[in-house]
Amino acid sequence: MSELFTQAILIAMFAATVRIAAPLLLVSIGELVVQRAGIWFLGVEGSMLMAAFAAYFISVASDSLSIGLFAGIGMGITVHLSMAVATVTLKINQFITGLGINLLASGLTLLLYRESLKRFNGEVPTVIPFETVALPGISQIPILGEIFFDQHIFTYLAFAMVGVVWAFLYRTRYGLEIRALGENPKALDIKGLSVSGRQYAALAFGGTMAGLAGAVLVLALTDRFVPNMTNGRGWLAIVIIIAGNWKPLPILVAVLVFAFLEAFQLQAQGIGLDIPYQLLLALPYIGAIVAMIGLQLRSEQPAHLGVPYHRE
Amino acid sequence: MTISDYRIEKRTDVGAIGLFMQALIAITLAFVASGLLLTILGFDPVAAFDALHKGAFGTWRNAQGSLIHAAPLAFTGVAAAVAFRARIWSIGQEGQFFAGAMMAYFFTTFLNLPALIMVPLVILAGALGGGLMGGLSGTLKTRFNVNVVVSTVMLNYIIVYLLSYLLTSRIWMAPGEYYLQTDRIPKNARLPDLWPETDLHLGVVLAVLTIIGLHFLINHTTFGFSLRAFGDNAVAAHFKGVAPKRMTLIVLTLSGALAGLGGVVQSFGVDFRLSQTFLYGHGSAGLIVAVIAGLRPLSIGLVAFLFGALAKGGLFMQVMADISSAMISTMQAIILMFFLVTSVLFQYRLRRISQDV
Repeated sequence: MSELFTQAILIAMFAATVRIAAPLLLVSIGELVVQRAGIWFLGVEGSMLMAAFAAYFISVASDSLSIGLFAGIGMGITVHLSMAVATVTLKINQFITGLGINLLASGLTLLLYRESLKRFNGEVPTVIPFETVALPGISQIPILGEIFFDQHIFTYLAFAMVGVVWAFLYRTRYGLEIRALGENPKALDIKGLSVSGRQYAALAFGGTMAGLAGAVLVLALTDRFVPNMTNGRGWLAIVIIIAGNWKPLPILVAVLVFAFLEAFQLQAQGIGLDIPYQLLLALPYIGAIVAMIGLQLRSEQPAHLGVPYHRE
Repeated sequence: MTISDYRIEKRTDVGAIGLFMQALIAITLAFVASGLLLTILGFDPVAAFDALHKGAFGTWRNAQGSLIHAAPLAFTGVAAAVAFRARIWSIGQEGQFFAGAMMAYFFTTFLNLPALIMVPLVILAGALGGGLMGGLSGTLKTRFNVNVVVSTVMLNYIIVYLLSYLLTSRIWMAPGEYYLQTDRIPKNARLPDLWPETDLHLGVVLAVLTIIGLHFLINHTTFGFSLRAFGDNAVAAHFKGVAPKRMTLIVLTLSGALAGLGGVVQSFGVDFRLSQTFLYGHGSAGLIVAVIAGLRPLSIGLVAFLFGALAKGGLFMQVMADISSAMISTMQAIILMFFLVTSVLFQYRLRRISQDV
C-alpha cells in the first residue's frame, strides 16, 4: 500500500518536473542562441513576463487561447527586437538595457494588471488552459508513459527544440555563422556577411522562444496572470546557460535539475514535509549558486559575449 | 573657394553639462510618455501630474517628505555607482538593502542600550549586513569564479525568502500580528529627528555626508584612482599594481555596505518596522538613479532627490487620483529607457569642416 503510494508520488513528481521544464527549456534555448550570437541579454525575465501578460489578456479579450498564444509570441519578439535596436544598432550598454527592460516590464505589467482589476471589479477572469495531449501508444507504457508522454504539446515542442537548435548550431552553415558572431564577429564582417542582421535574427528567435515560454506559463501551466509570475525563471535561464556551458544538451540537463527542484517543492508542500516553505521556494536560487560553484566549465563561453561590435 | 560641410563625430566625454541636458531631455520625454500611458488608462494626466507635484513639493512638509524618500535611494544609488565605476555588474543592491535592515533589526532583538550607543550600533550593523552580502558575492567571484550578476540576483531572491521565514515562523513577529511585518523597533534604536516637529531624521544627514564622502573617495584618493583605473581597463590596472581579486572583493563589500546603510535609514528612520513591502524596490530605483547621474556621487544626490520626490508625490497621486503606485516604478523605468536612448544622441556632435577646393 505505502509502496504504491510512494510510487504514485514519485511518478507525479517526475511528471511535474517534465511539465515545469517546458517554459524554462524554451526560454533557455532561445537565450542560448542569443548569447551564441554575442548578445548578453539580461532582459529575458522581462520579455517573458510581458509575453505572459499579453497572452493572458489577449486570450481573455478574444476568448481564444490560440490568439493569446500568438499575442504572447508577438510580445516576446517585440521586446527582444527592442533590445536589438538598442544594443545592436544604437550600441547602448547591453547590461543596463537588459535591466531596464526587466524593470519596465515588472512595473508596467503590475500597473496594467492593477488597473484592469478595477475594471473586472476585482474578479480575475481565468482562461481554460490548454489540455495535455497523450501520445497514442507510447503514453500507455507504464511509468514512462505517465511521466513523459501525457504532456502539453509545448512540452514536446520544447524538448524537440533542443535537438533542432543543436542541429542548427553545429550542423548548418547559418549555425556556424551564429557561433562565429559570439567568437569573432569581425571574421563575418570581413567576409561581407551582415553582423547586425544575424544578431537581429538571433534575438527574434530568442523572442519567439521567450514569448512562447511566457504564454505557456499562463495558458498551459496555470489559468491566469499573476504579477511577477515569471518569478526569476528568466534569470534561471541565464544561470542554466552558464551551468550548461553554452551547449544544448547540458542545458537540457540543467533545466531538468531546476525543474525537479521546483516539482519537489510543490510535492513537499503537498505532503506536508516539516521544512519551512520559504526554504523550499528558495531552493532553485540556492541551487543556482551551488551549481555555479560546482561547475567551473567556461570553455564554450562566447569570447565576444556582451561586447558590442564596432566596425573600425 | 571654401565649402562648409558638417560631419558627425564621436565625443570622448559627454561632460557634466551634457549629462545634465541629457537627463533633462530624458525626464521630459518620460513625462510625455507617462502622460500618454495615463491617458490610455483613462486618467487625466494633467490632474495626475498636478497631484504628483503637490504631493512632492506642495507644502514644506511634503518637500521634507521628498527628502526623506530620497535618502535610501541616495545610498542604493552610490552603492550601484561604486560597483559600476569598477565595471563590476552587481545587481545586489536590493538584497543588500534588505540585509542591512535585517542585521540592524537583529541587534535590537537582544540589545537594549541608551540611544547614544544604540543608534551608532544599528547604523554599523546595517553596513555590516549589507557588506557581508556584498562580500559573499565578492568571495563567490574571486574564489569560485561565480558570475557577479548571477550571484547578486540569486541572493536578492534568497534574502527575501529569509525575511519571510523570520516573519511567518513568528521569530520576528508578535503572535497576534496579522500583517507580515516585524514588531516595532524600540524608540532608543530609531534614527532621531533633526529637530522637534519635523520628520527629517539623522538618515538624511547621513545620506548627504555619504554622498560627499564618496565624491572625495572616488575622485580624490588613491583608492578612487585605482577603482576607476580598474573599471577602465582591469588588465592595465593589474600591471600598475591593482590586484583584481582584492579590488573586486573590496568594491563589492563597500557597495553592499552602502546599500545596507540605506536599509537602516529606511527602516530605522521611517518605517520603524521591517516588511517586504516597506523595503521593496529601493535597490532597482537606486540603480536607475546611479545610471542617470552618470555614476557621479554628487549628481546621484540630485537625481535621488528627484526620485524621492517622485515617490512622495506618487503616494499623493495614488490617494488623489486613484492611480496605482506601480505607476511610479513604471515611470522610473521609462526615464531610464529614454536616458539610454538619448545617450546615443549625446555621444555625437556636429562639427563644421571647411575645405578649400
